[in-house]
Amino acid sequence: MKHILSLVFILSFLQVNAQNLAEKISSKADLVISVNGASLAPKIDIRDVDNSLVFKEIINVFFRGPIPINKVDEFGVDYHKRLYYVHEYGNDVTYNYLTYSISNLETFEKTIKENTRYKKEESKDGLNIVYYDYDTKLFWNADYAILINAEYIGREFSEYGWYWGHDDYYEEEYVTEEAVETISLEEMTQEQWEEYLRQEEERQLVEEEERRIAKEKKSAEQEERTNNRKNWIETEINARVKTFFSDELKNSKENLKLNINESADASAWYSRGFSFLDMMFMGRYMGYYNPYRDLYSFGNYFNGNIQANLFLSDKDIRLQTKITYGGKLQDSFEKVMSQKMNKKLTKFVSDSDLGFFSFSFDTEEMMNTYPLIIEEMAAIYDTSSREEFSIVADLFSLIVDEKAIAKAITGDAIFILHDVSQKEMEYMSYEYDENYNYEEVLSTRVETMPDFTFLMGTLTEDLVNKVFRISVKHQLIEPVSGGYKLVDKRNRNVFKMYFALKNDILFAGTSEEKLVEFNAGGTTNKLSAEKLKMITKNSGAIYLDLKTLMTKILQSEYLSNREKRFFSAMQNDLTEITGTMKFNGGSNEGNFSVAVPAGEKNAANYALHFFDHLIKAEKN
Amino acid sequence: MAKFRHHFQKLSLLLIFFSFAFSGCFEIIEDVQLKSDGSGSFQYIVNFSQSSTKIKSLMLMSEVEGYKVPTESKIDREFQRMAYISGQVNGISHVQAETDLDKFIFKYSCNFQKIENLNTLIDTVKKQSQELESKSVPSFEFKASEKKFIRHGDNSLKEKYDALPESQKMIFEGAEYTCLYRFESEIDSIFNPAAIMSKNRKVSFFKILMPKLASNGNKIKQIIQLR
Repeated sequence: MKHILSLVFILSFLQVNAQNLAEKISSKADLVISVNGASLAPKIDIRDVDNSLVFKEIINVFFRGPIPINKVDEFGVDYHKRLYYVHEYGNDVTYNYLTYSISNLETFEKTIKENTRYKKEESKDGLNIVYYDYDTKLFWNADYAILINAEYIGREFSEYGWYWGHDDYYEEEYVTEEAVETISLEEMTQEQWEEYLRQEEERQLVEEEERRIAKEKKSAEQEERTNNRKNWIETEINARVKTFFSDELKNSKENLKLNINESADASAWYSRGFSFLDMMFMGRYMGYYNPYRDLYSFGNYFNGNIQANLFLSDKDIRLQTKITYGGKLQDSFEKVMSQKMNKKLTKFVSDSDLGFFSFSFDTEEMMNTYPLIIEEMAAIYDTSSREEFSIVADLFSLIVDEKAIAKAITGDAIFILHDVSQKEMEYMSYEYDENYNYEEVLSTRVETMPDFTFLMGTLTEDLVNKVFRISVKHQLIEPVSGGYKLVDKRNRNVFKMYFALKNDILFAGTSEEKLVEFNAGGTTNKLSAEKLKMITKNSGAIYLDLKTLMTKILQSEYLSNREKRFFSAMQNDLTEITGTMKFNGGSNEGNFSVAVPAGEKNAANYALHFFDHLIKAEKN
Repeated sequence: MAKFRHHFQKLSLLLIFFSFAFSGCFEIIEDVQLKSDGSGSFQYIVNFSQSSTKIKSLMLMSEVEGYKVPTESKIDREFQRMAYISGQVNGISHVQAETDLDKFIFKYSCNFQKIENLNTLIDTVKKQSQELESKSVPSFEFKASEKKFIRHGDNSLKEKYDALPESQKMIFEGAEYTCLYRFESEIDSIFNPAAIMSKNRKVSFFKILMPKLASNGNKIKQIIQLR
């Protein structure tokens, strides 16, 4: 958390020289985050930054511990210019680097040299270098600096070869086939038995020695591999830095052609199949990444390049995103995302709800597009198997009845968070008598539980009703007035769940009251025209009243003291989040905003105070 | 043995999974009943029932913070397997392991011939779960001739606890560890000011918050002098 915050704020308060530094980014980059110092600097008083916990946190992370620096100016970094964070591919390595302009070389060098821990310094080829480690170094000249880290991603010197430290490997490799016994053990004479034992012992000794030698050999190989990997990384970092401090990329036109929105306070660009669903489910970014798993994931429907621009205005923090799809996918996605929300679903949302998340897509078009996605994804991740994936795509088209699926799932759905309510939950505790004999007693406590409804369009009434009937037969659900209730014989479910189908809408929700509303055709509470427009005019919409949600969560007895401190600190900082997504002009455009609370000068100050409160809550 | 080790590794994962499921809402009871001849019974209860809502929610997921969420049957199977292995320890008998996956309460009990058997049992479980590399400090000691019962503490958890990220330390906040030591004869004195003697003077009761115990394992130490 601290590191993320620090990165965000390093990116937010140090800035500049857009032109020159941007030209030094290679076309092999797949992620660029840039902070526009010229735009941000007038919005925030640098003295506020000096006095913030955020600044102290940045110092801690940057210098790996507290140092006696009290002002941003003491960095010597030109925070009126543009700063870049880049993730880039190299020769069997990936680079992460931060590059920024220097305003005062003397101050910069003084700060670096006096405060950097665990380092080795040298000057080489006109560059000053601080070695943090073999894979992390800081280089600078009189004008700008680059803090670069590299990670080896090749196979030859990989740290994670499958057999490293795997004992079974050695055992299996050196287990030899025994000569066939000609005499069974029962028929052996004493002499033969003793000879057999002697041979067995000899064989075991030989095998043990073979294993020992093999292990030593593997260990030596591993050490050599590690050294080679370190050397490789150092060589590649040096090579990359050499091109960085020259005009080589620019002259050979191998630099990245960035189209940055100059009015945005910060911008990001990511090129490798961005999927917001993957981020939601943490699939791609957690642990081992298996591209083949992703090939069949739902998230691929949203794969594309993304550009994001952040605007910090007086009233709100706005994030504008644009996902652009390559090749044939663009036309296909236009068709998929062109469907507008079925207005019948909006009758169940009202202004009294804490939040909602709606989406609408053309299921039939999505099914038609899916084979194409498989092929396009294969082109990104594994070009060598493109033909094989093409067959998978053809088979998918052959097997799947797109029209039938589109009938079952129309593609309109909305999740509504009505409220969070206090519910009594039972638990077991112990009561002791005067001699500490104890008995289990059933106690209750109040917990905060979400009250939600999920609605989905479907045109297969017969099928759904059949599923309901079978579920009743097998006692999974039971009929209640106007629908069905999930049977919970063993008290295994967290929520009570109700289901119903009416007017081509499938209802699943936690509240019997909402089930009644559903059967009545909608809520009697009002929905503002603004929210209605958000849902009906876009293919995706999200709204969440964070302030009210936080207030209600704080009423729970279930929170630990630390959680209470944390949520209390956040309570006054949070307002409402709104977001929409729709296809427009060949791209999927998103607009998300968070309102600036009353009392805050502008979004930049709000963001600084918000993160300060977060750090304070975490430290307490 | 490798197979057992593998199963205990899985058990450790289960415990890690549970650690995400609660924030300070669990209770452990360690209950030792000691006869004058040194034999006795042992009961260990881990009660997650205050966190059952959270656990049930988490069990709907396949993975939490990178750890695979086990199924109910797997949780039960691993707990029963641990109990089976403990039953193989010399001097340990009448092992019972009860799992209540509705309230998420785990109860383990056994009889022991002498208190050292109990120490061996604890070491065995720790070794199997690779928590112990060498012989640990014995948890219990009974000097029959001196009529003295000692509950030792050790600081083996401290390093691991300190290394935990704050988000995972939160797990222990508010959680309680209760020690109950029951004797046939009356207690003369208890060396631990936080321990309470029962009205009949035959039971020592001691309760401590888990963060305090995790950061200083010696806080659990009691020397109980019997009459």
